[in-house]
Amino acid sequence: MIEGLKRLIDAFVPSGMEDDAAHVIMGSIKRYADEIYRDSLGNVIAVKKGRGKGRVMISAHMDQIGLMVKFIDENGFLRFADAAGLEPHSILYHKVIFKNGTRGIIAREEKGRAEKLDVRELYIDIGALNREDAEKKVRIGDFCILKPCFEMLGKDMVSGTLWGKLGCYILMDAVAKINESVHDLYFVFTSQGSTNSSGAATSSYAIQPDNAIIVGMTDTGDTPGSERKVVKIRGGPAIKVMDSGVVYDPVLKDHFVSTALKHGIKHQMDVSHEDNAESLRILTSKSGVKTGGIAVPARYMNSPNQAVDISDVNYTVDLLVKAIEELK
Amino acid sequence: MMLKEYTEAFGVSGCEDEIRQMIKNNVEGMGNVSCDTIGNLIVHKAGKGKKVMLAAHMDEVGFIVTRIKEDGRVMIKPVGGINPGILASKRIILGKNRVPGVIGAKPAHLQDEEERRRPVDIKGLFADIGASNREEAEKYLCIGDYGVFDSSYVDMGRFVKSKALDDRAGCAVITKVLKENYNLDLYGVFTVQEEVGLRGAGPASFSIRPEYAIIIEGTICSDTTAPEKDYVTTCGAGPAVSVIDGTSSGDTGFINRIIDTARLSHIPFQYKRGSEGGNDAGKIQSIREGCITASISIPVRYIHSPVSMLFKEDYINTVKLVNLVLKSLEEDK
Repeated sequence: MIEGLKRLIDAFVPSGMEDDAAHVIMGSIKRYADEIYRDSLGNVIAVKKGRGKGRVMISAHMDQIGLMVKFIDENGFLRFADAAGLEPHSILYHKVIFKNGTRGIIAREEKGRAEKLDVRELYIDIGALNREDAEKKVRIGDFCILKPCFEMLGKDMVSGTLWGKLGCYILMDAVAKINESVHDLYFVFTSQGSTNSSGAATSSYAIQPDNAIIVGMTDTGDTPGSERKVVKIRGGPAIKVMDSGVVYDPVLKDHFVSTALKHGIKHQMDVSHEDNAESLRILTSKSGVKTGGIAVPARYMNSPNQAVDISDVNYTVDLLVKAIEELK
Repeated sequence: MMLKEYTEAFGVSGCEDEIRQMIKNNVEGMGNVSCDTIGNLIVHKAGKGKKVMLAAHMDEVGFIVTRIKEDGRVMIKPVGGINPGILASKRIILGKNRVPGVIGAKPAHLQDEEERRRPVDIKGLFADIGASNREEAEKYLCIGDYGVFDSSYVDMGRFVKSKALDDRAGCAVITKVLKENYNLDLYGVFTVQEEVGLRGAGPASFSIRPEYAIIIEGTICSDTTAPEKDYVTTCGAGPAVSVIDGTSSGDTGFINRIIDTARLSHIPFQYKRGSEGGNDAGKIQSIREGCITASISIPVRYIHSPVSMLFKEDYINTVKLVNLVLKSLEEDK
């Protein structure tokens, strides 16, 4: 598992520029798909034909948050914009990397209080001598991402820049493992999921699935002082009940639960008040789509170092595979 | 002068009749002109090439009458995003009868220190039309009437000043470009209700189903009011190409095409250097199966105010750039 996930984590995928991830994904799952293509927004769509009873869309977004350079000052420090609405303190003093390998560190103007930071007070230091020197490596309009990282915490816990990557990994693993389905399966790796979810909107419109399953990560409530939430790490895949503005299809939800029980797959229920634009876009596509969700419990969701447990990841794949195979 | 005519027209979100009629008169004969259910004005220049949609919104920020008080004060609410700090002492025009009014404020003599620091109270926002009671005011106005800033077009030499440059400047660009003929299946769309949630653009792109869309905007420019790192755009630096904003990501290939076109023809351009705000691109990009979008914007200082300013050369260069980008789309298959 680790190797496949690492390759994805290293891909450079700021929202809106998904080519790198698409390349990795298409290369590794082509052989399992009857058809694989990209659409005008850059979504990767892998079709696995079943017996044609209906269409099931299984989706995860493949992009991560990108920071766009908007100004270079005379000393060579970069100012940046982000379209995802990051919490500035969560990225402070983290490393970034550009497509051409240029590295930098996010720092802040040393005035005011760190907890009241505005993103406009942050800058990136790439070690440039001055503006001219910086402009040799970076141009206005260029994107960088938080430097990919990957660590094992203990034997089974994985920590790193998993955002936009773990969901894709799970889909890729599932494509390879699924034996058969009465439905035609559309595995969709969506673009722009970290920002505006346009990719989820257009792919679901084009596919018009009967059922959709969204795969991602969900916040846990098992860390010191965390918000009250029953989802915990090592509790198995979290079956989505609701997010802010989205109530998941009860039939699909029950199907996930009964499949998990039947196969002895550890699982838990996820009632969340977080926004989920991807789900909302798919749920309300065209005349509406029955939408369910399965998520890996993850600590520190809003940081560059999310942490998940390998057993949860594996159980999520197991549940996804069985649930799809047994979906009537 | 089209910019004068367009910016001085009345057309708050949801009440675009006057500006729509004016644009309609200007585009008559350029193609098949129609108006859809929600009110978008669509000019179709049918052709064999790629299906391309140009979009600019014709609505502007303004006001709506919510109540008329016993004492004749006309209570209003902003329509679209207006900074409360700019409201005091502005002239506005209200309703079908185009009644002049002002947004007044308490004299400084009577304000305590706290009041002097605070902008106009949006909750109690009212226009004074000089009526001495409700009955008198109701002769001219009723609840639901719209209002706009009363501000005329001024030629300042290299700059122009007017209200509603966002996005009548875009409307003027499209009107100019539509005069040309292209080997494209070209749609020029003047959308409604952008300022209140990008409402018009979606239905238009749903019915048109473009392959490519170019959104022409008047965009934020703070090159006189912010430190350089927060300019977003700079007046005089040419059309601004968006990479990403709050509602969409531009298509990398299409953005590169636009930039290469500008470089080859020595048209100055700049990137939009911020992700604040959003425009019709967000809706157009994600309708149906999606389409390839890019936004080209003209920097506008003091946007969403009666005194917005635009650098003429930026406007002229935007017309040139859009024209050449369309020409480049004719060529490849």
